[in-house]
Amino acid sequence: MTMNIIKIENLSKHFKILKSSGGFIGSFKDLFSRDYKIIKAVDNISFKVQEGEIIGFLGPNGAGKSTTIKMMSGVLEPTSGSIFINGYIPYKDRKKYVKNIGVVFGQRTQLWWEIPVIESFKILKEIYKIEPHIYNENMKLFNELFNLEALYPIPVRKLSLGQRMLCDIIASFLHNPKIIFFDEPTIGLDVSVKNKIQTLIKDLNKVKKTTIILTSHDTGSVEALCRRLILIDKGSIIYDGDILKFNRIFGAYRTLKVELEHLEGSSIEVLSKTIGERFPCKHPIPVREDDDGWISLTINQDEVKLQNVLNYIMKEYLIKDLKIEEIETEDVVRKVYEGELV
Amino acid sequence: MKKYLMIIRNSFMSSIIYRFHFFYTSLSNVFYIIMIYFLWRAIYKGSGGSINGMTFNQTFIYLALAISIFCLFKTWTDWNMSYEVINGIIVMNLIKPMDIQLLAMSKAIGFVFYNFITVTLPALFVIIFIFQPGEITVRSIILSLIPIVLAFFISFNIDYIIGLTSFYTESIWGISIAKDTIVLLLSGALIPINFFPEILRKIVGLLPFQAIYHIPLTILISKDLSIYEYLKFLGIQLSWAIALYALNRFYYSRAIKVVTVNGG
Repeated sequence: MTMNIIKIENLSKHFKILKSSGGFIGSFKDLFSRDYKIIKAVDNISFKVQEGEIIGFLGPNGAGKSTTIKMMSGVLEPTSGSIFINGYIPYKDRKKYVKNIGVVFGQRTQLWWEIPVIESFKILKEIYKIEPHIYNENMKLFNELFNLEALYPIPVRKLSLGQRMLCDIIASFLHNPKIIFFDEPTIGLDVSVKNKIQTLIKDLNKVKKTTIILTSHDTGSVEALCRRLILIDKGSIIYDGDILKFNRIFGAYRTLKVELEHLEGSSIEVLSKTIGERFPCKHPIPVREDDDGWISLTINQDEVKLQNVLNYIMKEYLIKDLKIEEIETEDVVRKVYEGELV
Repeated sequence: MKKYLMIIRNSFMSSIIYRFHFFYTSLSNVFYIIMIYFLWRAIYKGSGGSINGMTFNQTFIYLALAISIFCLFKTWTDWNMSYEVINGIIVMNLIKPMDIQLLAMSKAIGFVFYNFITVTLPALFVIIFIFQPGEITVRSIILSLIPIVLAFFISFNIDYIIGLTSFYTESIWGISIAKDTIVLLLSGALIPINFFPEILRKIVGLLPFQAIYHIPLTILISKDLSIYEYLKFLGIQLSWAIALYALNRFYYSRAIKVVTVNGG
């Protein structure tokens, strides 16, 4: 029998933020302003997690993923709703509760900046009161799996971002926590390091049966790791279910990005219209101009062959550069709202 | 307990990493002491021996030691806490099974050891071997050890109040500068409290600041301090230490509810 290690019901977190008037004069005005607005960072979400699961929180930037993680890790007190994890109410019993969890924030490090990596491990051993045999066992396991010993004598500030991240992740497994929260663990990393980190998380989950909650704003890293996906946007859950179903629908999608020579302002609409006419789909292929001048088309390969679209564009336009990427989270969110994942 | 000892150790190790910082801070305080020597010698020149019941030697030793203790206790606790709130690093402390106040204090103690080696030790060396004051005896040094520890505890708790304020205000630049000035002035670290007018001396007596500098320094430079006076001093320090600690416990329980964690 499996039990729910995380139970969250109608959880909300609202922030009061000073409205900024903007500009130089405005910044003086703000000194005396009492004009607050309420931001609903997390708005009435509920879900349950079973022991040993890996769950992916996917959502565009600012969707409320990090705020949810911070409430689950006992850092923030919710505005309303109930949260119950591993037998504790996180924000109430913070000190006791955090003994059995690990948290990794991709942007920050829990390692001591100035001193060698191994010293940070030693201090974690004391902080979590890890038994010597467990500590040694884990260190041995990490060496067998990932062979990071060479990094241990190096001060953390001298590590590369990828190396630091690997060390941060194994550090979070050191005290055998029951749950680990990863907030954007692969942000800013290149593909090979990203893969390495994904394998690392996956292997450790398999060996240690740790429940893992992971957030990300790109679909790839969630797909690689999780069996269950929670899609979150504007503070609400818009999808919670099997990653396979998600993949069946979005796995066929690719984003084709092209940079075109001599493209005038109006011709993007022309392009959009002709593509719509030539390649009819249930929802017309969205053609969008990004801020950096690239044009992106989100194509469902079950309906239209990407190659055909590319051929057409190559025939009609002069292509400066092109790339093919997985579907962007913003597009996924849009498609869910359009009703593709119900 | 052992985890806090490890934090003290690591905090010391982290601070000693930057070599040039180490050597320059050692020098700067020695220069400051040389400066107050010449300043106060000029002030005393026209006075014929004693001002407000203090000889030149007593005044100089008092001020030189005061600034050495000030540098010893300068652990940047308030600045660090504000920095951690502004940049959201505070979250890394909150996800650890640790008490935030003890964590901050352990880091501060590690830094005090660093300060002791860089600032206080050279200063003591200069004061004792170059100026050779007769006022400091082995007895007075031993008697002043506990008061100095208590003084640190009070000083830390004042810093920590300001640090906790950053949970509300994020930046504490203005408050912290004001605190440093108020503490230096009202504690008698810039001008000995004996030089203050009667009314100000009475007010200062009711504030915690004099417990940081005036009390341990008086003990350190008094050759014949009675046991009664010594215990009275300890009593004052102990009361302030307990009062400020209790205040901080209460303040923390309120402040932690409003803390926002910036960034990602």
